[in-house]
Parts: sequence; structure tokens; C-alpha cells
Amino acid sequence: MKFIPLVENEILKLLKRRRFRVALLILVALNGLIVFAQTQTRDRHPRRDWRVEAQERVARMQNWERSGRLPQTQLKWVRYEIARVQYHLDRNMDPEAISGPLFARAFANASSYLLLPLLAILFAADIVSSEFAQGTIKLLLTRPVGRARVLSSKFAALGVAITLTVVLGGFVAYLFGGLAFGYRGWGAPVLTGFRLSGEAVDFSTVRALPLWEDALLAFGLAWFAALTVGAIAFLTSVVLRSTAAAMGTMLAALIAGTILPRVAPTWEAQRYLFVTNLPLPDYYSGSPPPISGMTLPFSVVVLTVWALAAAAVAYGVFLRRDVLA
Amino acid sequence: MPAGRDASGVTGGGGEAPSDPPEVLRTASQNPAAKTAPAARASAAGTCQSQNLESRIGPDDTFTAARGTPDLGLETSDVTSNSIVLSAEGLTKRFGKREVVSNVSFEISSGEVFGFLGPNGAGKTTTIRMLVGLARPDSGRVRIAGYDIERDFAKAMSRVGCIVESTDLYPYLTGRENLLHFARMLPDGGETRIPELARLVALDERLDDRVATYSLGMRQRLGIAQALLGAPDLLILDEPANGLDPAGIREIRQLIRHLASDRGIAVFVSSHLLSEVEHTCDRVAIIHRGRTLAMGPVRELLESRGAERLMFRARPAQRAAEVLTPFGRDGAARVEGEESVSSDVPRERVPEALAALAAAGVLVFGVERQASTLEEIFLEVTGGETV
Repeated sequence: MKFIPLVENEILKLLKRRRFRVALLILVALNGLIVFAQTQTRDRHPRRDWRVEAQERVARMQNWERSGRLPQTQLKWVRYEIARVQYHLDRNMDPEAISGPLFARAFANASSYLLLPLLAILFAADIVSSEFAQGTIKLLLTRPVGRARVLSSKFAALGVAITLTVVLGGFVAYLFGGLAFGYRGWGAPVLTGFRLSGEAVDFSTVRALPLWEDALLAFGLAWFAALTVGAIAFLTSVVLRSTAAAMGTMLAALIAGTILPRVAPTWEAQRYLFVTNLPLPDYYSGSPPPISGMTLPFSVVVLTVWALAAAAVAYGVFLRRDVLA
Repeated sequence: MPAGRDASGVTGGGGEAPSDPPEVLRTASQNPAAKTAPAARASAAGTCQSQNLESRIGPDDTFTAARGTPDLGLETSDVTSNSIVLSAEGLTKRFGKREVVSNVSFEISSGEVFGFLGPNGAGKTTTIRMLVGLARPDSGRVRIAGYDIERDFAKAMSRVGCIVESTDLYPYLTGRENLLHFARMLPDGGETRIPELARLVALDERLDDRVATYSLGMRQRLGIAQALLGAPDLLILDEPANGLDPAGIREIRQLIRHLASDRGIAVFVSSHLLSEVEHTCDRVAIIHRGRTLAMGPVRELLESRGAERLMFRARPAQRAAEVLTPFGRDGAARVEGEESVSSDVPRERVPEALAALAAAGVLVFGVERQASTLEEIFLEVTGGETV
């Protein structure tokens, strides 16, 4: 029995449904909105000399830092930002430069911990439960194909859908960003790899990469994070057999992930939660980790363990459970 | 067999190797198609199919013969009409402490329509789920075309088409996409059979419309087309008449008869409608509270229950009843109308009874046989619980 036709089936079912078009629409609408908002700000506050602006900004942030009124969590961001802007200034580079390619690169960072996981959940949460809801699971599992193969084909299709979403997301961001800020600039150097070590910012790992390479890495990491969330949402879909319940659970987890590091930055154990580890591209560009001590390899390992464990439980449950829907 | 499904709770079964050619396949064949070598048949499959387009309602076996299962070289569709296609042995299923199905056993032969009759909640659907591997029995086993469904799930299921509880297909796909979807799940690609099957269930005109726009009857028919995609030896239909109008019910009934009689498919039909089963099935099992209460050919079941009564058209009725009462097997003759008296006089005593009526001055206008219905049998075996 060939495996590809089964994956073909699952992809067909994913693409033929309204939710895939909704996901595309979300990508287009969101990117359009952000680009529009940015052009509005730009038009209202035309940029003067970027060097003067950057210097003013550094001075402002240094005041905040000295005031001693900033909470610890924000302080590390301010320190990082001062170091980053100053580093750019020293090398005569505009830290706030914007172009279509840069906008796409920023999209990878911004979408990795909320938007892309959200879309992954949109696909994964109903991939098994909808078969239960429609009753089609009874047909699907009474065909001469083992349950493990059926589930694997669904996993594969989910992987394809998530990949497609990340690629389309990047493409739409570039398209819209380019419309407003110009399509050129993939070869421009980007400074990346700032690292916060204790009080100071470590510059020893800072490198200049051509933007396309940097963007590719960032999108790769965002993709990996989305796949992990997809695998976990897949598990909830298998176990709960209800799309609404699966979506609710996953959304609650995502929201918890964005809130926890802010309200409880000293709770160290949260570094083992998958939601805390999602902003992988952020790490890569060097902004401070959500919880101090977390590194990119650590987060990748944590996410991998979560994804594999979710898949194992999903298979275990799916293969054994009687279908009584 | 899918991984993780091998921890079977199957009783019996012995040490038979899974790869043993199933009993059914070894049976000598009377079907002319079986005399040709498997390879020759496989190559002839194409022609068989095109012939079949004209034989929508015709007594030929090309439909089933058209299937090529190269891994076996033999086909169950070639076996004689009384080979066993489905056998269920001692199926038992418990939900917690409650036993929903208790020790249910039956066998179905090719070309036979088997009715599975019982009130809602009797355990019909649970039994069907066990037949098709959706639920695992706590004990007992199921064999389809000789393959144990726990050990040889894929091989067993490649011989089955089924509808379990209402026909559920993907509403957002067209009829054709639905059929293609399930054809891709078959080992030999049922794509080529789609046009023919669409014609068989009279859906060829609407095949490219989304299923969401179909009527219930059309969905039911599409479900049957789906079930037939793999040219199965066994068709399992759970309540096929549910929600259909009388015309739809008749169509389904005719289709079932055609598939069984002309194409040699074994059909398992569950129903809570007595009339449905009575008109379509060769054999029925009556299930109630998870147990089989009666099983046998419909006619035998109807006759053996002794419920056969005669209706005497005679006047005066009162007098006729008095005369007839001693001839009955049990119970008095009943006055049913102005000149109608019913009695269970056995066949051999009818002449005697007529003579007695004549002697008593009763005018006899006619005697009719009143066949009992499954309804009566059902009421009798279930102790009066309604269906």
C-alpha cells in the first residue's frame, strides 16, 4: 500500500476547507495592516538624520537605565537595545533601517510565538477531531489501511500545511513590505548574535550576515516552532476528539506562554514548557531569552522532546482506542 | 495489521499461521471465471469492466471478477455461492460492567443477504463495529474471507465495503472527490470503477457537485458506491433505510438484492425495521439486549414459529368458531369479523375441519393462509417489547 496517495487525501481535505483560505486571509490582512500602519507613522513623523535619531534614542534609554525605576525584566531589554543601537552606530549602520526584505525578516520574529503557532493550531486541532465529528472516521478506519498509516498520513499533511503557511507568510510579508519600503536589499548585511551575559552585552558572537541568509535561518526556526505546536495540537485533537476543545486548550497554552515570562520571570521551571520556548528566531537575532539561562540549543531540544512525546501519545491513543463516534 | 493492535483479546484461534490460504479460497470453484489462470483473468480485467457498463442490472460476475489482487492470485469472488465470507464467533463486548454484546455468533455466505434485527440499543451497531475493526471485542473473533481481522486487518478489510451508522462522507468535497479519496485507500486503485459505480447508484449526473448539496438518499447511495469501490465480497450496511422515503427504501432494497443475487456479494444488513429485513433478507438473526434470540432463514423462521394461521371465510362465524376450536393446535378459534374466523388448524386436519363445518351447516366461502410476520415472531421472542 502506497503512502503518498494517503497524504494526498489528507492534503486535499486540508486545502479544500474554508480554514485554509481563512489562514491565508489572516496572513494577507495582518501583513497589510502592519505595513499600512508603518507607512502611516513614517508619513506623520518623517525621519530626520537616522544617526541623530539613534543617538537620541540611546541617550533616552540610558536615562531610563540610570533612573532605577525600571523592573528587572525591562532593564535587560533596555540594556540589550542600547548595546544593539550603539553597535550599529559605531559601524555606521542604520539600526532602524527598513526595506521589504527586512520587513519579511521581522515577520519571522514577530510571528514565531503567536501567529504561526495559531495557524498551526487552526489546521492541527481539527485534523483528527473533524473526522470524528463528521463520522468519516468510521470509513477512514475500515479501509484496508492500518491505523498507524492513517495517522502518519495526517501528520505528514499537517507538516505540509504548516510549511506552506510559513512560506506563504514570508512571501506575503515580503510582497507587502516591498510595496511600501522597496523590494531590494536581500544582500544587505545584518548584525546578529548579540548576547546578554549578566549585566553586560557580549559582542564577541556578533556577526554580519547577508540578509537573505539571516532571514532563511529565522524562517527555519519559526517553522520548527510552528511544527512543534502543530504536533501538540494534533495530540489534543486525537485525545479530545473535539475541535473546539482542542483549539481552546491550545490557545490557553499559547496565551499562558506569552504571559508567564512577564508576570513570573523568576519561575525557572517554565523553561521546560513548550510555549516559553517558541520565540526561536528572537534568540537567534540575539535578544535576551524569556528566562535567563535559556539558549537556542536548549529551546530546540525542549521543543523536540515535546513534539516527539506528543506524537508518541497521539499514536498510542489512536491505535488502541475503540471508535464509538 | 497496524502496530499496537496485536494485543488481541481473541479467544480460540489455535496456532494457524496468518499466511495460510484461507479456507474459503481453497474451495473448489463452480464459477467459470475461476477456471482461467489468475494471470489471464487479471489481464482480462479491463474488458470485464467495459462489459460491465452495460450490465448494470444483469446476472454476471464480471464486476467482482474485474478486481485484481496480485498478492493472492486467487479471489474469493470466484468461490462457490455457499462459501462463508463472514464469520463471527462468540463476539462479546463490555462497556464497564455492562455486557452490550454477549456471545454473538453467525456466518454469512456469498450471495446471501443476512438481516440483523433488533430494537435500538440492542447491540447491533456495537456488533458491526467489532465486525469492521472499529471496536475490539472483549472475546470472540471475526474472520472475513478467511482473514482474522485482528491479525490480517488490511487483507480482511480489502474484502469489505461498509456503512456504519448513517452515511458520512466529506460534505465539502464533491461526490467524485469523495470516491477518489476512498479509492486511493485501496490496494488496487478503485478509480477506474468510479464512473460505473456512479451509474449503478444513479449519481452520475451529480457526481461533480459537493456532497453538502446532496439529499439524504443521494448521500446514502454515494455511501453504497463508496462501499463497492473495492469490489468487496462482503457489504455491511447499518440501517441502510434510515431516513429514506419509501421510494428510496425500495431502491436500496432492489440494489441490495441485485448485488447479492447477481454479483454474489454477501450482504449484512442491520435494521430495526421488520418489514425491511423481511423483504430483503435470506436469513435473519434477531438480537435483543446483546443476545441472539433467534436465527434462521426468513421463511423457516416464519413457519417454524407455528404462528401460521388459517382464515376461514364462513357464516355464521360464531358457529364456525365453535366447530373449529377442537381442530386447532392450541387456543380457541377466534371470530375476526362477520364471516371471518381464524384458527391454527394444522394442514393435515383441514379437510376434516371443512367436513365438520359442512356437517354443522356452516357455509364456507373460502380458506386463506395467514403467514405470520416477523413482527409477531419478534414480539414473541422478545417477550412483547416493541421494536
